[in-house]
Amino acid sequence: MRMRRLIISFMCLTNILPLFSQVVIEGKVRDEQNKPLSDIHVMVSMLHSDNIVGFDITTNEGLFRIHLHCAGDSVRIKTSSINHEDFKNSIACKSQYLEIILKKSVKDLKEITVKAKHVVKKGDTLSYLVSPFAREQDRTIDEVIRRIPGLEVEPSGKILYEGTPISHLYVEGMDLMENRYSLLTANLPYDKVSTIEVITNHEPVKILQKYATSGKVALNLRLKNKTTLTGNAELAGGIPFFTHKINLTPILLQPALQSLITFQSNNNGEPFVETFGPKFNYQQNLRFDQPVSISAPNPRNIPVADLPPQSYIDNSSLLTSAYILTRSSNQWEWRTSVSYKNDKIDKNWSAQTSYLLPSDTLIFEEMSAFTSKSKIWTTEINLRHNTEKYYADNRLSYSIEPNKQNGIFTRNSSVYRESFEEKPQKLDWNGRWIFPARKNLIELYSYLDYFYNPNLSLHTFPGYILFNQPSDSVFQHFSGNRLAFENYISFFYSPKSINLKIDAGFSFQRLHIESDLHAFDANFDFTGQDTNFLNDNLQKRLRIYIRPSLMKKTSTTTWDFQIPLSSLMLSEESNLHAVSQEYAKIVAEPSLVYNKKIKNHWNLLASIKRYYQYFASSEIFYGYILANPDLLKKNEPLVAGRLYAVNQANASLKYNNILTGLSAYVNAGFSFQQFDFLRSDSIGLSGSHIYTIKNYPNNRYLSLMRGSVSKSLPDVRTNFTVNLNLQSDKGKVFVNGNISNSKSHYLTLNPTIYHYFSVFDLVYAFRWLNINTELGNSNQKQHSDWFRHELSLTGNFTKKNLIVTASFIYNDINRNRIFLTDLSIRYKIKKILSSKLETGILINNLFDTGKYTYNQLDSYVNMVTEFPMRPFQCLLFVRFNY
Amino acid sequence: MNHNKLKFILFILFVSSSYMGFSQIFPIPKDIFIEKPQLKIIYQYHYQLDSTNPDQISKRTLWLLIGDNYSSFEDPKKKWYKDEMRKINSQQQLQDWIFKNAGMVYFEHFTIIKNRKLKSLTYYNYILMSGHYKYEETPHLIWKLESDTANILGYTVQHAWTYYGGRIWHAWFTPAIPISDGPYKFMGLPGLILKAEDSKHYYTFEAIAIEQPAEGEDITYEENPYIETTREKFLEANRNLRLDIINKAQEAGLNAEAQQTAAQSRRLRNNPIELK
Repeated sequence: MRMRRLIISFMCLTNILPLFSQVVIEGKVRDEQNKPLSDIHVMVSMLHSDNIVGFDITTNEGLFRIHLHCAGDSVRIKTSSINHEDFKNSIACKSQYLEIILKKSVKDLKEITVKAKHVVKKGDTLSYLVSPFAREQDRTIDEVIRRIPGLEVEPSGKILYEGTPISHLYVEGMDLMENRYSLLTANLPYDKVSTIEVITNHEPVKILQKYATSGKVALNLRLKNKTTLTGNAELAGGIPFFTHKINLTPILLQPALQSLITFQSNNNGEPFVETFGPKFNYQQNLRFDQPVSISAPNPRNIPVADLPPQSYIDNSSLLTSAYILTRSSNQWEWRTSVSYKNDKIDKNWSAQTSYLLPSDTLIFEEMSAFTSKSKIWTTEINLRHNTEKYYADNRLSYSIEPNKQNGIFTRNSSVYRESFEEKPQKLDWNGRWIFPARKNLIELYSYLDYFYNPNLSLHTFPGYILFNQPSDSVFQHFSGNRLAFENYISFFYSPKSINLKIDAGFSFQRLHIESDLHAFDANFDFTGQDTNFLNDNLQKRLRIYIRPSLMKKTSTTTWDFQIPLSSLMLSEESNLHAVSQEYAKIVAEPSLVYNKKIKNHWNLLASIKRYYQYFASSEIFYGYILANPDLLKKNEPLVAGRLYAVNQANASLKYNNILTGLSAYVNAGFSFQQFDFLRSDSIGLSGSHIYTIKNYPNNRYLSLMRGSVSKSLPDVRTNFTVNLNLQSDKGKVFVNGNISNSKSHYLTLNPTIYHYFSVFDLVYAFRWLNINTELGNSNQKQHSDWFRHELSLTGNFTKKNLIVTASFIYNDINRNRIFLTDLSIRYKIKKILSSKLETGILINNLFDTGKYTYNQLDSYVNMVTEFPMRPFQCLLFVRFNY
Repeated sequence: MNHNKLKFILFILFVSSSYMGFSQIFPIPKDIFIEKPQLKIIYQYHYQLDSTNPDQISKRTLWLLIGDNYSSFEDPKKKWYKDEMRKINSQQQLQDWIFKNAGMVYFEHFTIIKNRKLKSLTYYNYILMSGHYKYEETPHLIWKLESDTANILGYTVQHAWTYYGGRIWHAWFTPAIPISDGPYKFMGLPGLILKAEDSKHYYTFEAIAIEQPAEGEDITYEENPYIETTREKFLEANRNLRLDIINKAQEAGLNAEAQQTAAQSRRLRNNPIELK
């Protein structure tokens, strides 16, 4: 009783005491017939905040009385009710009497409500409540996201909506992580998030929202609390060989400050290279031309199997990053990120590579043992402003990415040592500003990129590549740099339902390479001659363009037509050989996109496009360059074709009904590419290749069809999804002097079913990949069938605080079969920190399966690779979500 | 299932569910129609009846049906249960139903009908072996507004708190839905309350969906021989039941072991939503 009196007294005091400095706003609310209105909510807020600081609900006489403490000269007063129009006004913050007259206007409750449980639909935004989708075993938000209809999370953490990657992942409207959002979603505890908003037709630039239809999809996570200090900590260690895994990731999410800091290290087969690649192309869709990669020599390619990396990759990896985003009161955002990543991977594999040539079949038995060390240091600063009135984005980033790879390669009993080293650096700047000019908008865009790779070396011993002649060793030193920039100005004009945009700009790229390919002759009496092949090549590309686009938009239909006109100029010079060539062309690249919403649930998107692409410069003008230990590019200096035309048509039809939980899409695409040249591939008896480019007009046809149906059946606690992909590729290949027709067909069928028992969750997925290739007149046909069954069973023994997950993979590629079993046992320590702490055991490859066979088919290459699996691994872990 | 457990379930069913005695063998109480609702808010209700055991969290789904003049707040399972009971015509059917639906028979008994114009409410509930009670109440909730906001079901909600029933209650309301109502007895804020929670997190009501009511989902109350009382007397009667459960069980003819089980069960209900 005493407590109650105390609290009431306190509440009265907190209400009454400030009266000395308070004002009283009172008044009467009536309708147009002068009748007093009862039950009207009268609310007062400060001028620059929506937070209500005082309120009253009118009496039967329509009277209200609000006491409040003034922090400024003025306040906003607002009324709200179901049956009358809202009233809003700014008034002086002083005691006063107000007469408010409201017009009758019945609000339709259906507009503000939803018809399906756990889902709210408002315009283009679907809000999914997190808690109904979460299961006992879930810890982080990515585990919940993958259960939401239409959303998928790939093993790398990439999120797809209806088969298309999302463009942004926001937290309370702020983009802290940009493309690296998987670091956040894999560490943010799901119970901190109240809703997941799926925003379709998302235009990230607010000032452009009425001018453009992006077709992009973004996710926005709404948090339960205004300030969230959270994160994930995990320590694991076990056998064999001191296997460990560490993850410490604190996260702070506040309205004006967001940050994520991570320290991760492991040697259990989870290299960060797969989830943390360099982000080279920020806002690449804005630029007409992407920076052309300098085709620097590469080390031997380490093949990748379609298995979880921890089952076959032997690594030692470290990642540490910090991301900080602050927002000022005038809506400027400052974002900084600093990252360091270090992956050391030891990789062994053996392969049988078969070249099915029109007149012959070459088969090579290969074994490899390599150590690869890659590092990335990267830092980025970004100052941006994104409101309905003004947009600015200024960004500077710098990265250094040293790589080393050393190892031994055996082909048909011949043993070669190979080593590779490089230390490329990259600096780039992006600036984009959009501001109103009278009733229209003007956009300025500027991009500058400098790439520098000064000390690349590739060494093979003994050498075997040049003309298929053996040599003591082959050594290549390479340096390259690239300067690229692009600038444009855009004008937006929007009369009624038509939007007109005209961009005018130019892009320039300068690529300079120097290489020295040195072969030491294999004369053991030291009388032989060493051979040098030098390159000093410069390429310049200039495009001057005007890019008009016209968009007509109604509530259900959008037409978007673009017809960029460009003047292209290309010059290539060889300083050593004193030859040069120039090329110029004017091209038009029209595109038309049609989008229609049909009856709430259906969406039709169709597009046609014709555009031109440069053939890669390295294919055209280098004299001799070792592209990798197996491949020599020996190019003719004068080739007619520089560009090839691509003609594309795409159509997709999507259906999504949140009431029935049925979501489906079908997408069909066709591409027709017109070339003036053909790559000639000569495969020698040592297994090495020499590429040259030949003048030869030819066409290539690619067609693609994808379909997916997913249905949620909550009454029987079941969801199922069926994905189907069909792909066909038809064209010509020029191999060992013969031109042949080539055809490839790929089919992937992937049904997945999720069933939630009261204690067990079951996920079963079946995948069938069928590949058929054909070369020439049916002389050489190849066929590969790959079947995979994946079953995951998770038992939630709530009373025992135990969660047990068993995952099984049964894989069959052309009758090479393996069976993999992983097991995880988690124990929630509820007595401490109410289940935020858990411990347990992770067992990978329980039955110690020895090797995994993987098959890759190309038009005339068949590579069967055997990867040794990581042995049985057992880790004891402690995890803490706070 | 051992004999005593079975007997205890039967006991709980018979005594805690007033309808059992009125199954088709007996009449089921009628629902008295008050008003057609305009809006249905579904709340998830989490509560901890035993303050000494944080692992024992119960969950229910409760509906707030809002009409022009009245609103009702109750467990929709109550209506389902009555519909099921109406289908039962014999003791054998009843026993079969109990075995088939073991674990499904628990629901919240209370119904709260708010008069939205008068800002008053009528509370209906049933006390074990004591009868049906109802009382009128005009809760004087003094709300204190806070500046923090959150997001529930896509709506921005603002924090407010009050003192009621011996607890400090934190509410999250949205001015975007201009209805001064909420879960349980809470109302009086300038917008719908989407979440209410006591300061010790023993009781939480959180909206999980907002829907249009289906046909037949009306604002009603049960026709029962109610004992009209006051809130204070009702709380006292409830307290007395906890203290006197063994005598009541004895009167119902249970053996000593079942009496102890019933007493244990009541002892664990030491944390009612309203303390005073």
